[in-house]
Amino acid sequence: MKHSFLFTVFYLFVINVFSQDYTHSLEGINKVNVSSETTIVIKNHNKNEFLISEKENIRTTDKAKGLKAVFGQGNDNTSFGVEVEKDGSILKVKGLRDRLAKDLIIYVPKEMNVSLEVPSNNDIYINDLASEIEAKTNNGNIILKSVTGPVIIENNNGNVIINFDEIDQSLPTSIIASKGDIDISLPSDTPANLTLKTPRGEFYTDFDLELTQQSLDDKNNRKKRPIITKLNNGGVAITLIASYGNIYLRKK
Amino acid sequence: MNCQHTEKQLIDYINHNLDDKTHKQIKLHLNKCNDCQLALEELQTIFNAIDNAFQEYPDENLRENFEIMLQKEKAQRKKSDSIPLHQKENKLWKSVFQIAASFALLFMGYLYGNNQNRGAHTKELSVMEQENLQMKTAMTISMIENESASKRLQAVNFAKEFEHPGNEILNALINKMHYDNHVSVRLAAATALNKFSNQEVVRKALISALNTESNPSMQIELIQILVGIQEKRAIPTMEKILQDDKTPAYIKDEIKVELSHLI
Repeated sequence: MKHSFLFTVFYLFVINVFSQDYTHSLEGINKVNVSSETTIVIKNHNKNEFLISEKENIRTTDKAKGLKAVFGQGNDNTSFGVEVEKDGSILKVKGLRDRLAKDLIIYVPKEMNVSLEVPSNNDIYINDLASEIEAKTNNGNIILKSVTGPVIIENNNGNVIINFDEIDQSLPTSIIASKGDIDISLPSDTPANLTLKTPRGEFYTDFDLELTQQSLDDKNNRKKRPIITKLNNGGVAITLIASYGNIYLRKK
Repeated sequence: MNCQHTEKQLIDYINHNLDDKTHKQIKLHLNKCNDCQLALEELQTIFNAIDNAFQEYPDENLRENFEIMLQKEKAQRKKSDSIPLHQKENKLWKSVFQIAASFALLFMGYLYGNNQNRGAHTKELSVMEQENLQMKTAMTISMIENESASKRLQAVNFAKEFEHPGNEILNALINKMHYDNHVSVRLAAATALNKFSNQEVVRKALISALNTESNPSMQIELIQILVGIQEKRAIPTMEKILQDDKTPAYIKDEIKVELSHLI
């Protein structure tokens, strides 16, 4: 018994000294902004810190052992090809690697607000966050699982797939996809005021929707009117716009 | 404290109407100055004389004479043959007119008071509305620059609820429509501004936004708004986008369809 205790202490000591993970305290920080040309993956953990683990991210290639990576677009102060900088209550994270490099996998606490941007053709994945999410991609997909919102999404040519656990009722949610589809799954009892626009695409759902008079009265879109409706007697404002693709709204 | 000064305040000194400090100063002066001492004594004599003056009452005879005179006058009035100014039969009409006039006066008074009151009321209400508007404006303006995109979006939705937004609100919305980092906020600002498109500054801003905007969803929204408000000055911008090689085919098609509604 005594031996196993000593072994555990020793093991923890070794892990702490030799672990090559990058961490940054999130004390006094309420938002993490991440931009990267690579795919960004956000997961949660129970510590109040920002983590890039060595297990899931590439530090250097074998050939570069003992050398330091230098990037023109920023200072690699994490040794993971990522620049991390605290700016007031915001942690600014900038991926310095090329879009063909491996995914950047990041851990934050479940309640941390995040703002993510991938200007290349790569994707954004978020799993299990109960916080405010802002995400922007150009040609990649945005795939969120087990989130609560509010979410503000901008996607140019990719698809947006979101599985909501619930929808935050205090702040509005807005998802705009120019070329791709929007595919949303919601708990069936979600209260919301929905505004949907699919000027070139179509809208499919298994919710029972009744169009409001406002929707029928809209004069601006003579050709294709927006769909304005209430889910479960109305609630927070949710705007979904797919300018070219379709919108799928599914009951969970 | 000189004599002149003391003399002026002697009456107050006698009546104990002075503060402690002045009282003591005058007392000191009086002890030194004989002239003033004399003046004080004179004054005191006069006051004593006034206080002790004999109160004179009218003679009893005067009262009796007055009573007799009054009786005589009353008796004379009773048998007076002076002609009344109005005939008896007019009396009824007169009282009717009097009552009617008094009612009319009362009614006019009521109307005036009511009107006055209502004026004050509307004034109060408009002050309250003004304050409410100022508060709403301040809240919207402070939130519209928030770090959180969702909060900015909410502020924009909030601004849409204004019936007659001030310049501050309009400028904030115009700024958001042009420069916000997220298309969701820009687009919400554009739809909010559509509501206020009767204002020239808003129409111009909508055209200039279409001129600079590169997000296709936002372009479609702006084109639809501009065609909705029949803004013909947007045609050159729309034709420019039409000729741009980078414009996606579905935007070009959208413009072609919408242009036919505008020309």
